[in-house]
Amino acid sequence: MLLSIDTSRDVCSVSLLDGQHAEERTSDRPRSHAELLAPFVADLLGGTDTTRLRGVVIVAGPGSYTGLRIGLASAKALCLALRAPLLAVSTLEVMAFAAFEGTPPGAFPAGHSVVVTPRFPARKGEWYVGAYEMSTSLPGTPKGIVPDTVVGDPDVATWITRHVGTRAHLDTEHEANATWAARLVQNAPHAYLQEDASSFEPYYLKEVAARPRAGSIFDRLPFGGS
Amino acid sequence: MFSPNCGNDENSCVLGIETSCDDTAAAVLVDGVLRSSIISSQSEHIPFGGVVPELASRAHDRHLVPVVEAALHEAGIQAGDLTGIAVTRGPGLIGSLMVGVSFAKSLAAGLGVPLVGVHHLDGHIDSLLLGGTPPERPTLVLVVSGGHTQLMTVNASGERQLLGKTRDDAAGEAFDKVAAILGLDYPGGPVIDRLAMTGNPSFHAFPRTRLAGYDWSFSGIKTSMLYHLGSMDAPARAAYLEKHLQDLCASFQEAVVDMLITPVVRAMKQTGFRSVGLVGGVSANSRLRARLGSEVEARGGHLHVPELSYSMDNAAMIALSGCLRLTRGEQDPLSITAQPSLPMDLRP
Ligand SMILES: Nc1ncnc2c1ncn2[C@@H]1O[C@H](COP(=O)(O)OP(=O)(O)OP(=O)(O)O)[C@@H](O)[C@H]1O
Ligand SMILES: [Mg+2]
Repeated sequence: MLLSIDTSRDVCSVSLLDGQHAEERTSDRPRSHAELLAPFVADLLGGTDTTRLRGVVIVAGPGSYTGLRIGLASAKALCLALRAPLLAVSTLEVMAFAAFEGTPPGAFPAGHSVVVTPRFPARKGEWYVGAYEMSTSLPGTPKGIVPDTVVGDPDVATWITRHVGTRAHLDTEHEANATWAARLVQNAPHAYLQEDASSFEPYYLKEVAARPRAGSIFDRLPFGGS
Repeated sequence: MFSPNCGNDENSCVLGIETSCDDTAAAVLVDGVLRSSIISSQSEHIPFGGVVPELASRAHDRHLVPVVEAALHEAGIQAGDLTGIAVTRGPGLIGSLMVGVSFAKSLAAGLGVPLVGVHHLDGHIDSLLLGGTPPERPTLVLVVSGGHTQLMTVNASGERQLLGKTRDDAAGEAFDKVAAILGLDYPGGPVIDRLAMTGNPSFHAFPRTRLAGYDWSFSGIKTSMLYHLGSMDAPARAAYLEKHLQDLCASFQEAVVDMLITPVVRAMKQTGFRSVGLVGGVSANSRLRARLGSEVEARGGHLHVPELSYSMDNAAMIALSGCLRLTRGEQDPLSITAQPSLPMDLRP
């Protein structure tokens, strides 16, 4: 059994996956994550035998910084409370998995691999992009071709072509959610295990843009000085 | 350690969490007795001369679990032993608060124990109950920190009333801003305090802004320092500071202390209260402690100042404040959220 949390983007979802059966709570109300996440968790855990829990899955980014922290802080608390390991998965990887699983059978020739390029807008004319290889014959986990990254709007097409090459391609903006994340992680939990869960950080993909103050305060005064 | 009566008949074990600004803190109270108080101060902000909110939020997220684990470990308990969670809900930086509140809510949900959101200033006021002998009630409490300057009363049953507050900058903010003008490191309060020890407090007469009633204004004194130094060219200013930095610090500090004390003395006269508390980070100021102490004693009163580690942002005060509420049978729903400007009388 896995408890899974996705607050990386506009939808807040929590899911309890037990074998193939998923119980999900979800809301698309803007900025409701901080309010609804814990009640969703309490609701799903109520009446559940938590000793059967094998881990807490977190969709760890990229995504909204605030959303990622709400989800991760909650996931860390649940790991502590329920003595469960933290399983972190990339937002883009979940998107790739969900999109690929959602394609009708036969959409791609059997026995070949398909490159899925999940992407969604970051701020300031940039996109979060990833490139994952999926096999049409083997069920399972996406294989990252390059690390997830941020690419400027005009360069997205080139970036995709560079990583897809001549292989079959699926470009997608299919959204992730907690249940897709849990289904993906369930296939190979050890691959997502965070040994150092307590100090684990979201996959922000961007540094904080803050510059140390330069010069003296008097340089900024109307009457000058120096 | 003093044991405020906040345990129920059963065993109580309360975790307090504080992440309102740039300190990540956790503390544990067992049967109303403080067993641990861990504070991790973020040094990431020093090069920026002030707290960078996004950096603070990231650092809280990194530090919170290690800090909580250390607090549990030092208290000799495990997460499963907790009977309640208390967390600072506001006021403070939204992103910082949100990390603590999200963590606390899910911890409460995972453990199936009650949660209480604590007003940061309720915590500062209750810090008077940590250690030593608690002040007699009713109490006049001066809250002076980086974000707040206000005068409160606390009656026999612990109810608070606001007498007055700053209309612009907080006293700690004035210290920090003036320190920046003087080219000193952030946070500037402790640096000014130290430099002022060897300076002349009557070197320069900074204006004392005095308002009717119990309110303050600290923006004028900052501007005054800026204009005092801004009238010189850079080399002259450098030479002047070289010679008189200590004097300027002492003169500035004296003016702030004068301003802080006046409404407290007025309130002592008007209310007849003799028990006075001084809380918040600026209570560390040596001149403020000494001057307010003697003013209060001259009027037959007694000044209570918590130990420094309970005056600066800390989680012991949050655990205690939350514990008192839990004991009264109060708790908050898991839907509460961080409130950057949480009003004090707000009872969710
Ligand atoms: N010795 C001192 N003299 C003067 N000011 C001091 C001294 N020590 C600390 N301060 C000031 O105290 C402030 C920090 O206190 P505290 O941690 O209580 O405030 P905060 O958390 O920033 O604000 P708030 O509690 O209102 O949210 C800073 O402004 C700092 O400069
Ligand atoms: Mg404070």
